[in-house]
Amino acid sequence: MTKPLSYDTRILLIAAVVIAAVYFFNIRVTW
Amino acid sequence: MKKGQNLLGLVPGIVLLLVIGYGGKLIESTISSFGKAHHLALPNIEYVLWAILLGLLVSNTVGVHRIFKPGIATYEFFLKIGIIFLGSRFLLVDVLRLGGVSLVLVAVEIVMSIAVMTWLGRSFGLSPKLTSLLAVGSSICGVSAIIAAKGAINAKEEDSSLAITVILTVGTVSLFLLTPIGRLLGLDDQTFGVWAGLAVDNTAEAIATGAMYSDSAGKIAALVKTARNATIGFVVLGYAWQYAQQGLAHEVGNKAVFLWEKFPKFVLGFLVVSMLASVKVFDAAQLTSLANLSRWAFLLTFAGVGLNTDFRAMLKQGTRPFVVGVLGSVFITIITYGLVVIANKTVGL
Repeated sequence: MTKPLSYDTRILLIAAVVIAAVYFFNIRVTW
Repeated sequence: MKKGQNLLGLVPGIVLLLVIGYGGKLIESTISSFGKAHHLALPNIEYVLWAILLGLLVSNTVGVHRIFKPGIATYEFFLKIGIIFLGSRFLLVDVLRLGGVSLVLVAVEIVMSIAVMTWLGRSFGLSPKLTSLLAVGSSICGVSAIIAAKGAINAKEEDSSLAITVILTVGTVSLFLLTPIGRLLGLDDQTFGVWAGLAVDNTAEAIATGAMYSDSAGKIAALVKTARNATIGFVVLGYAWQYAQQGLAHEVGNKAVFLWEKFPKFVLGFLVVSMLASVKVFDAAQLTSLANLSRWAFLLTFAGVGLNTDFRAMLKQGTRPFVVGVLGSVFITIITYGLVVIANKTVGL
């Protein structure tokens, strides 16, 4: 059985996915 | 977002964070446009303060229904992801320079605050482990440091929840006091940001304190607080070793593994994003989007700070731990101000 990802690792992964979306799909976020 | 948690169950709380946070943003912009339309010089109160006040108002009047609790607890997730995105607003050289200076200041702050908290805890007759948890919480990074230390020193559940309540309450109080004091002292954004990052106990409250002063002070407070958080493993290891010597906790096996386990990994994310921004991987529009994502994440965090502070729960806990927390915090605020002034005059911030 594979070990589930830790909470910290999941945060890093989610951040990486969001950053990749901003980078590759040029998603714009306004404030 | 912790293991086994139902994602749907998080929705009500996250929506509440959004409503409270966005409500704060809306109040700020409404006051500002009202002032402009009527040619009035109204004080500019940042959305941060409004979001926290709205959260406090809800949690201390009608209370927060349990359906919202799991979602509200995600404010820690938004805090960490907000710090990672914030890396886009720093050049790596600035991170290393200010982070380096901060680490020296943090080392002095940790030694002094642990000494004072330990002395205060003994003077007020608190148990040694509760005193250690309060010392760890106030010297490094609040709640996460207390949780990390709890396991390492075999502390009781009630001691850790009491220490967390004290640290959160004291953090919320500092949040309201530091900004007016900073204005009174005429501090610039950089100096105030460093001070907030060093003085305020919990990460969310430290960044909120900085952001309440100005956007730029919030950014600096986050960097300094992140440097402070990075030291968590070393301090917890020190306590674990001390209690193990007395036979009151388990011996730590592999110290390198222990340090890595306790190290807050979002700090690495922050450094990687800052490095990518420094080597110009992102264009200007992408950098703006990442910076705005960080602002949105912090907005939810600040709403969570207010919603998580329940003064009624605090009053039920007895006064002695709070007196220790408050006195310790006053001391840390004063010495960190001294440290910031000295650093400003010697190496420059």
